[in-house]
Amino acid sequence: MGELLAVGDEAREPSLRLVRWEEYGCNQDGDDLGIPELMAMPSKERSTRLQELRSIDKEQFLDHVCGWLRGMLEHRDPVRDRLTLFWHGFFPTSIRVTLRRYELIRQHRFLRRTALAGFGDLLHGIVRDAAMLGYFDNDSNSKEHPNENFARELLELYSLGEGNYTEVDVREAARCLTGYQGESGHFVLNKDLHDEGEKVLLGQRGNFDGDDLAEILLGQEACARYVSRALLSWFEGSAPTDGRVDSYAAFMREHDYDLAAWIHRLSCDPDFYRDEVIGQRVAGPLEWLVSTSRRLGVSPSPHFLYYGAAFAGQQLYAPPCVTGWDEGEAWITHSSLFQRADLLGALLGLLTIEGHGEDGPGDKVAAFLAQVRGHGLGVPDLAKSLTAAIGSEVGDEACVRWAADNWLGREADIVVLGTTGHRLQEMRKELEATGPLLQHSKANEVLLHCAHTMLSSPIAHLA
Amino acid sequence: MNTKASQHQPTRREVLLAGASLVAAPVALSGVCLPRPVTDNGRSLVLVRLRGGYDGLSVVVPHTNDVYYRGRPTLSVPKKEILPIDDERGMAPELEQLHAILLAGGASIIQGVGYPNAPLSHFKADAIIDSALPDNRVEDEGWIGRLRKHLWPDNVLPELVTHVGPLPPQSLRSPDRPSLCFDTPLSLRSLVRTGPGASRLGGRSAVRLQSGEGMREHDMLSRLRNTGQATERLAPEIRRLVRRRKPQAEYPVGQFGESMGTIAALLDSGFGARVYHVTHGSFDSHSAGCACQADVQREFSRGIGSFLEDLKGTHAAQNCLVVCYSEFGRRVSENASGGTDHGAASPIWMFGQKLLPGIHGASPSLTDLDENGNLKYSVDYRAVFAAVIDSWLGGDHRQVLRARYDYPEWIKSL
Repeated sequence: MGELLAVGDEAREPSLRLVRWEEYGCNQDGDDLGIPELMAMPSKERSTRLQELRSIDKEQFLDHVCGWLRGMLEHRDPVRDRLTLFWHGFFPTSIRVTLRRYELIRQHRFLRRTALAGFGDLLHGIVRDAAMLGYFDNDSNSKEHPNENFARELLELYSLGEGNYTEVDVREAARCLTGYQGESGHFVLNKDLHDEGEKVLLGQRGNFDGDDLAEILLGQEACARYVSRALLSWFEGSAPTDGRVDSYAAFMREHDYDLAAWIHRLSCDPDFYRDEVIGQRVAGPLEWLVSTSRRLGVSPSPHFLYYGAAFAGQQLYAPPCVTGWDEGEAWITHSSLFQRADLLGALLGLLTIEGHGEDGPGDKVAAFLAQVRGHGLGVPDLAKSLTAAIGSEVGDEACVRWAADNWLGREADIVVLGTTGHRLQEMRKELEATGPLLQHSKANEVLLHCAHTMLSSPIAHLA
Repeated sequence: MNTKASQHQPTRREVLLAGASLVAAPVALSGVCLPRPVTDNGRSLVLVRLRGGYDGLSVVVPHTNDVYYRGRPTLSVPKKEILPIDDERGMAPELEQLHAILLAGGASIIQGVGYPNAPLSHFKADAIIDSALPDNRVEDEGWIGRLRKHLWPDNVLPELVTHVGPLPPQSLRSPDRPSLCFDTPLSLRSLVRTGPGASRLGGRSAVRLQSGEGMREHDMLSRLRNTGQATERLAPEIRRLVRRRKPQAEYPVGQFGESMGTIAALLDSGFGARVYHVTHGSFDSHSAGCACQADVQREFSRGIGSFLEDLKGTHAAQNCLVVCYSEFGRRVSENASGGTDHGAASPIWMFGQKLLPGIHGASPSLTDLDENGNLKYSVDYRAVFAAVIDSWLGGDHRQVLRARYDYPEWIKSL
């Protein structure tokens, strides 16, 4: 565990230009803020410049996401990557709301840096996070007109859970958060809007602000239970028993919300490796794509991973709602099986945009293939890796068994072995291929289809 | 409310008069309730789940009420843009199609729908509405899961209950009766060429059957395998049915319109679904909601309008009832961000040829509010579900909702 956590964080971040609208004399709506350079431009030129700035903002955001995804694929810091993804779903913000995308980059850096620190640091930080404050309209939360949007979700979804606070607590929490705003990606306290009056919430009385609020929430027993339950559900893929939640919540409180200690305890817990948990968790699209790529030994571009996960239902920085993504079995629908099969086909070079026209507005495959055009990875040479591992003279059964052991990442059952073996024999007949498979000129083509058969089977979606 | 079912076009006055208080109180069942045999009446149900909290005051606009205009300085519909219903009520201009349908007698709106002790959290409210149990109890199995077992106990095919959209909804959940869930008809196919040997495979798709009969399996894997098998069977059929039918109306661009078009095509082709489900939204506009809320409403109005137009004159149109509902409404007064916070009572839209059209239920008071400053409900949402189960589908709602709900006479016209 310690080894996994040791790899540095900041070193791998791509250099960021972090363009800010404000620096160029306009906000995201294109209103002038009085910067002479931009003001002096004729309106047509100015709008062109604005468009450029917007595309730079988008571009640097994509660069940033790609840096994260590249790290995942290279396994540089897997535990931190996983936890960062978890916190991104736990404290979701959306690219559809946050127009200044550099705020999302800042938020990501914060979540990543704090992913394994204390939950207290996370909660304190998120209360002052510009993207989060913008996402929940807290910029207009003022003492005259409190907006309880952020306060409500903070209590319900990010700390205590429903049933552990009252409507009065929500209103009082909203008052604590008045004047909490983002400005150019940084936190500011707008004193004119902040309510300096006394608040009474969760049994405490005082002139609280947002930071006091975070501290009060962390002091509630419900908080450790809520966070522990969320983490256990995510790591184990099923709802934990109340007893299990209580035990982990008590540990969390004893360790002052230290997340590294909490994760360490989980990783040493024999119950974490029980039959109902191992291989029973439906992997989310991104996790499935990254782990499948790694096991196949292929290196898709980060663009491929980003658009691919989005195609399969998990667009980073655009979770469907304030509760993030519905994890687990909700990932699998009748159409998502096909989407994963197509994604795998694209990963294996079996599916390219050439020869595929768009069928209509609902044709998301075509849109996805257009997005990753030019970011292709070519056709992986599976025959080469098999030959290197087990030699070219082995029989078909040994090939399939090696493939299952290495590509599936779990013990293959007779169904998968049988189906893949059957597929291989069909292709042999078609090609009239005799002798060892790996010595045949079309060995790689056969193996790519075997990989597709094996990895688009239901068992391949479970981790 | 003793008005009988009527097929004639209602007058303005009738539309207005349809409104009256209809408090429906649940009566808890004591002891065991004897099951009543259910005969299948062949009808279908289309459920539209309006996500995020649907604002009743933007649907039936009280355009003569100053409290409305004072509470919503930026969000209210200007008087000159109101589509009139009667002297006191009107509709926002983005609901153009629905307004026309309402006046033509093809729709009913039930105002002030809610339930006791309603939470203001989406998460919790979703769970309560999707469970539809007494005392706001929440269970894993959704009310549609229980409904299908009650009405069609022998039909275990997933397509009996079909959701069109990317994410599976909670109300359809059932531990032993999975429902069909797909994004679009085009998403039900794989483009991967089957490679060497493809001719012998007869173009079989990449989602392999791989059934594990006779094998010891963990739950999740066998569920995924069942999903794969159903996909293999249903995908070609759905794509064929949708491709074969030419839509008789133009649908708005976007997920909702496309999904309604798919549902119309399947309804009109005799596909094996009896309950269709689709979601629309989000209506959760906490800020500068006006423009964005209007867009979502417009898409809803156009989507429903196209759907009804598309099915006009078909057997399917006579045999389907569309019910659109949300987890809660919005607050009366707008907040400082020019949006509205979570509320309580919200309206339910129904579309069908047998219902008594018009606006039902009293307009909620804008001054007599609940303790959170929200509109009080006058109709329990479970009473509406009960009426749909009994009067439309010919079932016994007590078996599904586990309590008895009284509902007004007019809804029996279904």
